Order: sequence, then C-alpha cells, then structure tokens
Amino acid sequence: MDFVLEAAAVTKKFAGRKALDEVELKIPAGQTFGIIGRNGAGKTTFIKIALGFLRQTSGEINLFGERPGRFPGRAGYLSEKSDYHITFTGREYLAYLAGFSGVEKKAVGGRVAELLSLTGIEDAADRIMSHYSKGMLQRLGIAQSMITAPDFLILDEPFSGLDPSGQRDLCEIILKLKALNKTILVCSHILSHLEKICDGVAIIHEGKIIRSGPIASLLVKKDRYRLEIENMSDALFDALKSGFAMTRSGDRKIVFEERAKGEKEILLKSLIDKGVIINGLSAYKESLDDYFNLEITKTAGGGQ
Amino acid sequence: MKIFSLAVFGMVEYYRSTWLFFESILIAVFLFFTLLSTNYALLSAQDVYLNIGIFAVVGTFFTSFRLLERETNPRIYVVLTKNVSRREYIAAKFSAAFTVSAAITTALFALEYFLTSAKNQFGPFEAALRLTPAYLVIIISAMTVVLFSKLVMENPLSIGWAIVILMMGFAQPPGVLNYLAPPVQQLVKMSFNPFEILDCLYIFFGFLYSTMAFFAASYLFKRRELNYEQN
Repeated sequence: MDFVLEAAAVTKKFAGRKALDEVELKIPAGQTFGIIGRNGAGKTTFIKIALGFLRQTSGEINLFGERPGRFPGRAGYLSEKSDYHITFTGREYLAYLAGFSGVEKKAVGGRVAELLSLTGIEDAADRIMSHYSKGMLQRLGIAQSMITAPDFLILDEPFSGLDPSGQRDLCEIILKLKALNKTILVCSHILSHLEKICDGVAIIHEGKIIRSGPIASLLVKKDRYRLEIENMSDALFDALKSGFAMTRSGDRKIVFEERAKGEKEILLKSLIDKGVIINGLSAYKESLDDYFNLEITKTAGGGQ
Repeated sequence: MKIFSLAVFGMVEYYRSTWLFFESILIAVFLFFTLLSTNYALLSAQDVYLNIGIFAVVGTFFTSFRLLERETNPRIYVVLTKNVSRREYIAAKFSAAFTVSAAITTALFALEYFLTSAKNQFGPFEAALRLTPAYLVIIISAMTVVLFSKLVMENPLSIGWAIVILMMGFAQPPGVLNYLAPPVQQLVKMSFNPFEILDCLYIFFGFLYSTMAFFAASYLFKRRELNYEQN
C-alpha cells in the first residue's frame, strides 16, 4: 500500500512542553483520514509539521516520500482560521493564486471556473470577499487549496463556525473531492461528519496517538449485535435481561452481546416464541462520538 | 514569472487595503517641508536630491515594513502552500516593496522638480538619470527592512536593527562603522555631484550589500518556523 504521509516517532516540543509525543501515523493514498482530539491535543501542530511550517524536535515525517515543504504545491491546505486577502473578489483571488502557482496563463480562467463550480460559489465569485459569509469563505478556502490540483488535501477544522446546512454542504464537497480520488486529511470536532466521510481515523490525546485504524474496524464491535424489534413489553425485556447481556437502544432496538457461542440463536428463538417481531439483526456499530469519548476517558483514567 | 506574479499580487493587495494613504501623507509631509522654504522656487537641485535621498530611505522603510506585515498571519499559509519556494516569496516581497517605494519616490521627485529651480539646472532626461542612485538607495533600504522584518526574524523588535543600519548608512560615522554601513550617503551625494570613478565602488558595494542581505533573508526565512495559529 502506498502512503502519502508517514510519521515515525514524531515529537515536537514548545519551550520544553511536548505538543506531540512519538506520533506514529500512516495515511494511505486515496483515503480520507480523520484526526480527532480535544483542543490543544496536537492536531494542528502535526499538520504544520507535515506541511513544513514547523520542524519536529525528533522523529521523521515524510510527505510523498520527501521532507515536508520540499514540493509545496503537492499538498493543498485549508487553515483553521479563514484569514484570506479579502480585498479581492473570489474569482480574482483564485486567478492570482493560480498565476503564481504555475498554472498556465491560458488555463487559469478554466481552472478557476471549475473550482468555483465544485465548491458552489459561482454566484458570489464576483463579489468582494470581505462581504462573504463564513460558509462562503470556507468554500473559497477549499477552492484555493485545490488550485494546484494537489494529490493531498489537508483540511483543518473545515466545519468550524458553519451552520448545520453549511456543514452538510461542506460534507458533500469533501465527498466530491473523495470521488476525485484525492487523499484527504481532515481534523474536526464534528465527529458525526467525520464518520460519514472518513475511511480511517486517529485519536490524538495530549500529543499521543492513542487509537488509529480503519473506521469500520474501530467502530464495529465483535460479538455485539443490534436487534430491531416490535411488540416487546418491558416485563419481557426485564425477564430476558436476567439471562442475556442486553440493553435497550431506543424504543424498538436492543443491543445484545453474545458471551457464548450459540447464545444469539437462543435469544432469537426466545423472542420469536414470545411473539416478538424481529425486523432486523446487524453487527453493532458504535458512533464515532461515543467511541472517541470512551477512549479519551479510558486514557485519561489510565486504562487502555 | 512566479516572482513577478506574486509581487504583483502583493502590490495590488497592498494598494487595495491601504489606498497608499500613508505614502500619500508622507509625500505631503516632505512636500510641505520643501514648500515651507520662503523661496522654494529657488531651491537648488542639490536640495531636491538630498530631500529625495532622505525620502528614499524613510519612504522605503515605512512602505516595506507595512507591506511585509500584511502576511505575518495565517494568510501566509495560503501563499506558501502553492508552488512557491520561500526564496521566491522573499524575492517577491522585496520586488513589491521596491516597486511601490520607487513609484512614490519618483512621484515626489517629479513634484519637487517642477516646483523648484532644479528644472533650470538639469533637463528632464538628466534629472531622471541623476535619480538612478536613489533607486539603489531604495533597493538597499528595502532589502535591509526585509532582512530585519518580523516576517524573517520573528522578533518584532529586530526591525530596530534596520533603523540603526540605515541611519549609519546615511550618517557614515568615522572609523570601522563607515565600512560596515551601506553606502547610502555616498549614493545620495552621487545624484548632485559630478560622477567620479570611486562612485563605481559605492554602486558595487550597494549591490553587494543588497545581494548579501537577500541571501541572508532567504536563508533565515527558510529556516524559520511559521506558527500563526497557536491553540
């Protein structure tokens, strides 16, 4: 498997304080990868090292197999703060950026139009950016990060400050970029969105990566199932609960853990015998939000 | 070409953000002091070129300082994640600072030339030719400000070194400092004195100083960490 970004034992200290502590992370090409963590956990510091804006105190980090910052145009970046040169119109701004990014003069117009269309800001393209809303600036931020047609995109808190509809729209833009086979690294606190768009995640806590891997394998719990049921009384649930490890998850759902092989079949038979209608049975998948909170609590409490 | 495009971008952005308001005020102040002279129309070319020499240093200092401050914030990430090396970035910032400073200096010179008796001493072509050393003063001043700017040095107080060096260049103190400071005074005097062969040395030294300052600024900027959004 090809990796766009490889970090080995990356440590960064600021005035003696460790902002990153032996970070190990590999981001496979073509995947959308999320880094999640609390404020000050080290997400932005890691990104800046990956882009060559900061230097690690120790360890090694490679972007496309090279030292970070060597080929600046190969990684697009949406910074956490939407701080742009707002005296330009969106179209002018992108055209200037394309101009010094090496885009051929003849191709600049087409490239700008393509990005304005991709990010859905054609209507505002000829307005001065100081009149843009936060959502428009985020869209423009995505457009500017794509101006060099980079293979790798780094989006730092892309949803911050956006209303729910703006967040949903931005999710769709990221999914469009994903469909273009771009490798994307997203840092965000909005875990429900990351769950939708990411193939893999890493949890960073106090500068350390405490969990990382494909999202499906992290969130799907082995031997845990979700049952969708109808016609189950509280008395029946309580009676079954004494024999099986099960909890209610909403009105018509129960989560069941199979502690011994064959226990699932016994429970299903019992439910059917008692007249309960079973509408579905699936492997239980935790939400990223729950998973994150649990892992952070476990780490903070000293347990792994 | 990239440096040119980036310099144009920097100049347009600076113009749109400031409308060159400060520069206009500075021109007005210098013009005002010229016009304060009772018989300003009789001021000689020497007075005009000396005034322009001072303006070249002061105007360039403030213009370069303000222009370089424009991107000591997260906006720099937008530029440096494009196909732009840090050396190209420094070259573009210097080019933009030089162009704006040269334009305002030329504007002030044109006004003073027509208002004073300088027009009677030198024809327009010779007067313009004699302005050439002032452009080298602008190159030296702009490069000094770039080298000691917050952008390159990180420490905002380092700009004080640029002030000291430019003042030393203008004053040319005796002794070893005379050889350390850039030849600002000699270049200013070159505008109104007859050209001597020794002046070639000052021109060479001026370019050498600017080139060394450029490479030092590029080297330091390449090595510096850019951390503008701390948690």
